[in-house]
Amino acid sequence: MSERRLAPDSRVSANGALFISVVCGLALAAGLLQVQLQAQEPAEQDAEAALSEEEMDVARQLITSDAGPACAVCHQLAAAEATGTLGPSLDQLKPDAQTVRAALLEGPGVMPEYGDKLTMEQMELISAYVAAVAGGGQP
Amino acid sequence: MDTPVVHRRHFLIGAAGVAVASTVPGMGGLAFAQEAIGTQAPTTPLPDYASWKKPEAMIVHTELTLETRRPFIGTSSVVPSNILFVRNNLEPPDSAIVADADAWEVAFEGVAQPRTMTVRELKQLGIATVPTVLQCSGNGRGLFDHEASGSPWLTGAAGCVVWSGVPLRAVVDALGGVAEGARFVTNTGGEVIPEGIDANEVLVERSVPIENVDTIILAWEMNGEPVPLAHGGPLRVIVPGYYGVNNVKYVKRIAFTEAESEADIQQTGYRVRPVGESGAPDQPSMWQMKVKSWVTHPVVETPSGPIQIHGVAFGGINPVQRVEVSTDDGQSWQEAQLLDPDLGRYAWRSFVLPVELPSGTYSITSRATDSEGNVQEQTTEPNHRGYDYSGWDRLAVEVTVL
Ligand code: HEC
Repeated sequence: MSERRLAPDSRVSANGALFISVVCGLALAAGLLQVQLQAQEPAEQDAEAALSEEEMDVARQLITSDAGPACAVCHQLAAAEATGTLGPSLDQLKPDAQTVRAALLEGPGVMPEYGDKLTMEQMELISAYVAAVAGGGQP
Repeated sequence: MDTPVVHRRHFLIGAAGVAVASTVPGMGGLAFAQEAIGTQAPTTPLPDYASWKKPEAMIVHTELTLETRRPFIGTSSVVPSNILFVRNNLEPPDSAIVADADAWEVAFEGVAQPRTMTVRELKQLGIATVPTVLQCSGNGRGLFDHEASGSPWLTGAAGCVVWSGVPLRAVVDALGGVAEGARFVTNTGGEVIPEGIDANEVLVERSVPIENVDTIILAWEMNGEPVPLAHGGPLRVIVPGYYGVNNVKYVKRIAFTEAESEADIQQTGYRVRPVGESGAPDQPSMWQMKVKSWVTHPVVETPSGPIQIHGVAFGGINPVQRVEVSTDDGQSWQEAQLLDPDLGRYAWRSFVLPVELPSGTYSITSRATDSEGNVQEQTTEPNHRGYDYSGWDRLAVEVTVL
């Protein structure tokens, strides 16, 4: 996986993200914000482990209620039964993990920033989960 | 895994992307170029509230962000509404509000006689018509190397349109003048914010310096029609020369205030700062736009022989004085002709340079200078949120002359 910003219709699709390991994500997260904003490459490529059922449950819980404010208030994500319409539909956007991570850290436009609301681990989990399920409707 | 790896987004400059496409495994170079210039139907559908846009002219980043493809910008100054970009901070309100536009209410505060007025009443107070460049703060985000969050706009989050409405000054006069001590005009959007969210976190409320009271208009008409919901109808605040975000849509409250809005979008959002820094109120706000221009034709390839290189130029709050064009990556420049009509200091100006170029590949770009002598920058230093890339280096297009 790599950069998503070719052109909107060529955004990297989410299928590869199934293999993103949260552990690799965490390694990335250890870097500075600045580093994360740079084009990232290696971590996600070699990733192999899928999210466990338990991790998926935790991610869904954060997205639908615990994130404060919950993503579900503003975003649609069928796999988590999130139906918000205030912001763009994540099922339609199909972001990769890096896109989600950047959105959580930066809070683009009027989206809240989550850097002070969630732990790095939680953000990585959400990013991996959204990248894996967005557009599919399958948890 | 067969995923595209592209290391320098800005090679995609303009509509082209041909150079990049050939290095992308599993992606047809030609198909990609066609997608970028808009000869292919977009794969993401237009959102309902903007379903009347011309699909082949638009890049759909998200439901809230639709970009005009570069070569669709013509030379007659005004951008038709059906190809004008859309950038909504939040989902627009119900379309019922434009069905009965005259009944829309706006609260005026921080004046001698505060009160609420309907659009119908505002229409009795005065009318002004002002062409302005509407440009999203994030226009050109896709030309930076750092992956700032948000839509990766190229050049198409901008357009010149004509607004009609009441001058804010006329309203203020009718309400007995501005209250003492006011330093800002603070405008609140009418988006519906769900329960359970701290309003300041998502409220679209922007403050601009009070000096703008003499240029702001409250517009109910755009390009000869009632302002569509997608562009802020029934009533939109137009702050000429200021970035799009300040031009608050579905405005429901206009207040003269001593301090800037408490909303995050004002306090920490839309602040220019180095990459990696958080937003803070002491950083420059995205207010006045910079001098900027870009070529809109040719953008990918063109037959040899006479070529009319054309594009658009604007100076934010100042009129454009001159535009130069380079066909050799900025090594040499030629004076372009500014096309009439001149729609005023806040509009953009089309320019043209007739050239004859032998077959080959050219890096074509333009450089504008405003009436104050400000010259369009060569390159734009990265800023955290990827606001307004206006450097002529990456706004260049790689054109093959056949
Ligand atoms: C209060 C509403 C709100 C909440 C809560 C919210 N978002 Fe957003 N989000 C938005 C808006 C609005 C945008 C569009 C931003 C813009 O204008 O570019 C957005 C954009 C995004 C994007 C796309 C960024 C891009 O590059 O275009 C992603 C991914 C995202 N949000 C994920 C999340 C996740 C995950 C959560 C929960 C942890 C969340 N959001 C919570 C409102 C919200």
